[in-house]
Amino acid sequence: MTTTQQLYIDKHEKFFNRFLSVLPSKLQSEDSNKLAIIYFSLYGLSIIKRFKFSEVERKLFINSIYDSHLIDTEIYTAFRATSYFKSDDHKSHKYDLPNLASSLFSLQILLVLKDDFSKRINNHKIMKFLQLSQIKSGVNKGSFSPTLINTDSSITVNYGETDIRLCYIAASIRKLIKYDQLQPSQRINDIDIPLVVSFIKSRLNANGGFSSEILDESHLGYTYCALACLRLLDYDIESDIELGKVVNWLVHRQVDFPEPLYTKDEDEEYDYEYYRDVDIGSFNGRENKFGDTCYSWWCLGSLKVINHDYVNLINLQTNYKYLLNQVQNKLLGGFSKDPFSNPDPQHSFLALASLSLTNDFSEELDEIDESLVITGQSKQYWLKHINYPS
Amino acid sequence: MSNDYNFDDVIPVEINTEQPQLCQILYDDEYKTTMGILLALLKNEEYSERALYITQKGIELLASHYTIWIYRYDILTKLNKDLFEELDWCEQVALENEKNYQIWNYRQLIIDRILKTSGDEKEGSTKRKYEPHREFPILEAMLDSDPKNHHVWSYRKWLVEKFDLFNDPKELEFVDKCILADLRNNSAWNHRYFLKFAKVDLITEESVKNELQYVESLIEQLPQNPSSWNYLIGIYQKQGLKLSGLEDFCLKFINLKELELNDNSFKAVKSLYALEMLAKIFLERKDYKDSIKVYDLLGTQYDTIRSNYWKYEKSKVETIVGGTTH
Repeated sequence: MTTTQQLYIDKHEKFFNRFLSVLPSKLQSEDSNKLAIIYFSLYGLSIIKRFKFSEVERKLFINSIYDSHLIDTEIYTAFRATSYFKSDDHKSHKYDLPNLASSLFSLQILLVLKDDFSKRINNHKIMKFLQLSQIKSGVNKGSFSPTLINTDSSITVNYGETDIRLCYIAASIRKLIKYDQLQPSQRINDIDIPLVVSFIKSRLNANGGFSSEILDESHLGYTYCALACLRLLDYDIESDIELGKVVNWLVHRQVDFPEPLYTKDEDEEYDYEYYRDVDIGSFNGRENKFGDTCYSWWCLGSLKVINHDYVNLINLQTNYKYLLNQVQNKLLGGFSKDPFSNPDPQHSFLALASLSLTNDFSEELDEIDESLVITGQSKQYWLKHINYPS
Repeated sequence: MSNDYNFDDVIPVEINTEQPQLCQILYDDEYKTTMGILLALLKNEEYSERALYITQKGIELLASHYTIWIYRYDILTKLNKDLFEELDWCEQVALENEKNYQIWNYRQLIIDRILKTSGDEKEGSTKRKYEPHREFPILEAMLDSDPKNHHVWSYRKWLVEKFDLFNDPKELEFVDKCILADLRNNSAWNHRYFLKFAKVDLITEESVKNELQYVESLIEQLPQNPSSWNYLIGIYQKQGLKLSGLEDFCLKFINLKELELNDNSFKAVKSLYALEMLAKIFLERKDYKDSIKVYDLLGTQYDTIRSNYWKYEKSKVETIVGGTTH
């Protein structure tokens, strides 16, 4: 790497630690995404190899995840999004609801904190939550709802907008608790996998990308979730000819404006407000949209999910230039979504994750698992320590 | 809604008391009071006017939390509130906060409930009937301020599906207007594809012909546009048409003579999508040499940021060639 292409690791360390301590009130509207902020910040530290918490801190953090977020009913185990909706110790209330995304973030957080969650979380009971969340009929059959409602008659009902993201989350949880390693006969609460696959395939479009609804606009975020989910379910992506156009669609997400196909006016502006030179090398999530830092991860991650060699199909050097020179914040640390925004934990972690998908930054950065989105260190811990008896 | 509701009897639940915690948010007083009262009422399962009021305040502060929406919905149904008023409220919330995505799912629930409850009424009921076109002004306002708002377009698809508006003249007119206002609006093109091709019984020889004419004329206006090319390719794939039918059309944007000169002049190519299509057409009719040549040009001259990818496509053709000659 040339000197202009450098990572400001010390700054990033401070950035992530700042987010883990105290957040200003303007972030209170992010309250229900707090587990996401924790996940991005802890893994941010892990990926830059600056995860330096003491044993005491680690234990406190682990306990606070369980105390604030774990829901353990007679029927299922899951995690809630916001701690203060927790039921009182002596009496559970109707609106203390489980959340699928919060459940995945919690497991990932516990892993990076090196907590053997197999001691506290019953695999069949968390799978029961997934099973209840899987949608059994209608146009979204096979997918999962973000949450469950408790009705007066104590039956749970699916609630919330569903799409491929929820399938990805469910497949990740199933993988993290190693349910796929049990004998099929032992998986007493397994989800219906063929249904998940057919739901995902129903969201595949003619251009090769995936969308949230049938025949909706192909979107890179959903496309990553589709591919990673299929991979986590051991589906053979490369052999499915119906998925043959996805690589073409993915590589076309990298933004460039070669002259004279794209012309500028006297003010050096293109004739379209969504085209701008600072985006060159970045990735957009849909055709004719702005580039955004996070899509660098969703695109490279998708390619790597399909085939480890495919990250080389994109132009890595311009991707690095965009991430390191345009959106890396050299003053505050962190990365922003575009050159005009403030850095945030999500884009910071995903930028670093994108950089670590290749070997070019292996000195500074830990590896990343392209489907589970956990660092090399936490993956080692997971492989070795998370064991459910068969 | 007024704010003269009295909460004197409510002891707000204290939030943010756990110590220590990661990412401790320093809530302001308004947040603590509102959420504290909301939690107290919700835990008590209080379904009242003042509870409805406090959910509105809660949603303003924490729109992304499902539970508050669920609680609000329960209050509405238990108090038998006017659901049309709730739709008006949704519109205000959506306009005030464009990033409020939960609102669209919630609005679907309200409409579903209106349909369900009005179905229960006897004939001659004075109850208002739901009219799907009432959604058009709010959707237009939302898309006016962000013409590519993914959630709003998705919601629009739900509406079309629910009320079978695929052939609705107003809907077709709207999407046409969006495309003509911005030929590069990918969401609008996608919506048109949905209207025209989602339902098999709406696809006729004539409609396909019309759509091909439509998209081809707009590609001619703006050849370097992935959205319109996607539309064209989508029709070809859906109808199982041979790509070679597009050869003449592609050659409107590629000057083969200049391309042959290979003089690094970009004048030969007005559209990368046409050039890529040409490579595929050559491949389809087993003209491997020309296919390889076009992939070479894409990778080395015209679309160099994707040079590795074009090399990879070229190598796939070379493999076929190798396989047939040996």
